[in-house]
Amino acid sequence: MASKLDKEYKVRDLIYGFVKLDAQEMDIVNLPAFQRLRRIKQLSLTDMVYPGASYTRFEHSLGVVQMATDMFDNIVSKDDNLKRLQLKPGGIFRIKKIIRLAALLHDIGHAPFSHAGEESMPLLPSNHPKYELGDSKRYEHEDYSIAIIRYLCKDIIEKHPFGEELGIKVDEVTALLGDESVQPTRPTILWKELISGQLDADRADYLLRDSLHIGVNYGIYDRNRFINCVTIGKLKDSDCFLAIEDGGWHVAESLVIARYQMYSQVYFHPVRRIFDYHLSQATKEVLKSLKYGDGLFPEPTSQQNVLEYLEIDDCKMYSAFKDSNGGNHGRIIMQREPYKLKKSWDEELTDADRINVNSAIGQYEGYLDEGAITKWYKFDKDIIIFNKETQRSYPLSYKSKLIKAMSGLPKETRLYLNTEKCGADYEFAI
Amino acid sequence: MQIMSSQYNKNIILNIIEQYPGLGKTAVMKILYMLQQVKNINLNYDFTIYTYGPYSAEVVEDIDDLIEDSLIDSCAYEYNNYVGYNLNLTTMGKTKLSKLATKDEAKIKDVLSFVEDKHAKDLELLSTIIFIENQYAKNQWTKEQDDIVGKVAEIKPHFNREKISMAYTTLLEKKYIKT
Repeated sequence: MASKLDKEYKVRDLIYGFVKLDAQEMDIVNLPAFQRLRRIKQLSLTDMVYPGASYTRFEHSLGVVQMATDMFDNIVSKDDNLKRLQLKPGGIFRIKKIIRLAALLHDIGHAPFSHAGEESMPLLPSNHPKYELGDSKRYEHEDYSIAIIRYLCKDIIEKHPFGEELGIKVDEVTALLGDESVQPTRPTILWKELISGQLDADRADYLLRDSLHIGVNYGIYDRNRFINCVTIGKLKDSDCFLAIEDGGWHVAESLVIARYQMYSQVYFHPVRRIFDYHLSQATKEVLKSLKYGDGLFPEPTSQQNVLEYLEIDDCKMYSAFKDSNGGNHGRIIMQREPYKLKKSWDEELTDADRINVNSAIGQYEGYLDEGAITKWYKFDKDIIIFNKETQRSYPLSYKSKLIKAMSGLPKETRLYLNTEKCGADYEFAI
Repeated sequence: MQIMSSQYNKNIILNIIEQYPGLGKTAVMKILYMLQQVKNINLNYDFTIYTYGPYSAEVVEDIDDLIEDSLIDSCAYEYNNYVGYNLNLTTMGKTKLSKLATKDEAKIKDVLSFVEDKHAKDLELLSTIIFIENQYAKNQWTKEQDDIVGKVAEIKPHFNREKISMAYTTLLEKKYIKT
């Protein structure tokens, strides 16, 4: 049933109190493709370590709408920003609506268990706009999001009676999600930073939400101060960019520290990391048992493929694990008997180390987690600070000694072995 | 085509900085973009278009790794109200520097000789033109000079059309873009 055009829908939320949606957005939320996000856990199997980490992409997606809206509203509430943006009142509402739609839909293409399933996405074909000569890169969830929006949400974006007069095109929404089949424009280059950039609403939401659900304080930062300090910078010979006001650089510092803490304490937790591995292996097995012999999701290249992809969610995966269709790794997940961490290194492995590691993995089964770097939790420390009085910009690391001194991501290399085979007391020695 | 390892990419960065001490982070970014896009050295970096032209978070990560490993030093500088970082090899960085594959060496030499007299703003413009031209080619959009120059003028209004046209012609002559 279509939502009432004149009604504002309010959804209770852990962080914002309420997330407000209009009739068009509510109709998008009611689409089966969006409702599927209720069955995609935001933090994969992090709940094997932190039991509270069981919330879903559905909740986060609504949260990003509110965060992006709050950030945008604050930016355009200041005259000097409006001057820099050269925006008129009608234009403000239109851009805000595009940002809200992109924020709402940015994660609609996630695979089961969020990022852990991405290893089962097919390789990019050579005719894909993101393909570079010699690439061996895979599709990412953003590519599935873009395809789902194009195949299943185009009409609701372009023809919904609410906001139809704005004439918003689906291209304008997907462009903010990095769609390279759309010509870049000044607004998309600027505003996509609000959806996926150094200062994006996505990270700003998940840091708080993850912390609150998990029960840790590492990701907590001053949200109100942050929102109030987001601004538009512009130098004499540059275009507009998203920045933090000079007076608010401390909040940018706390955001980076929060992110660092969450990386090291939660996202890179050794048990969470090994479950990511088990999940990626089990996902391949489940896909083979469905009808995908190559263990890969269907490519996001047709409506039919997209619909088939959307059939696969966490529930389907758990069901397959229970039916023993996830192979040994599916069993490991169901019984919570992961490979155990047997050795970790702070530095790169020598060739001799590597021979020993490969030998142990060959003998006992195991996994070498190298670098523990995940692209989806990229650690960017240099937020741009802008001083509107002096019209000067500088990176956060220039102002903050703490940020300057911070090292990069934890770069531990970890060896996990199957203790059923090597025994619980086995000690790996170089 | 062989995909280069992260170690190889970092060695390329060290080699670039060795040849041009004091190069800015943003300039290194644009040089790597040209090496990947124009010279087909597959560095496996994902570039997207941002305010200052093509940008890859993976490049930033590699540079930060080199700083963290004390192989390069970064030193803040200010230019036109913008604070950035200059990069220089450390003593340890000089010892870690290793020779690149001969074919890549020639490609790097070519790009470096092309950019040596260019300012950061010029590199922003040149790399943006290459990015747009490449995007048009991949999407099989009409890409006459007017189309590319017009699009760059639209997204980079702080460059005038004449300057963009001149940069386009330079890239064409240099065979860094195709007609």
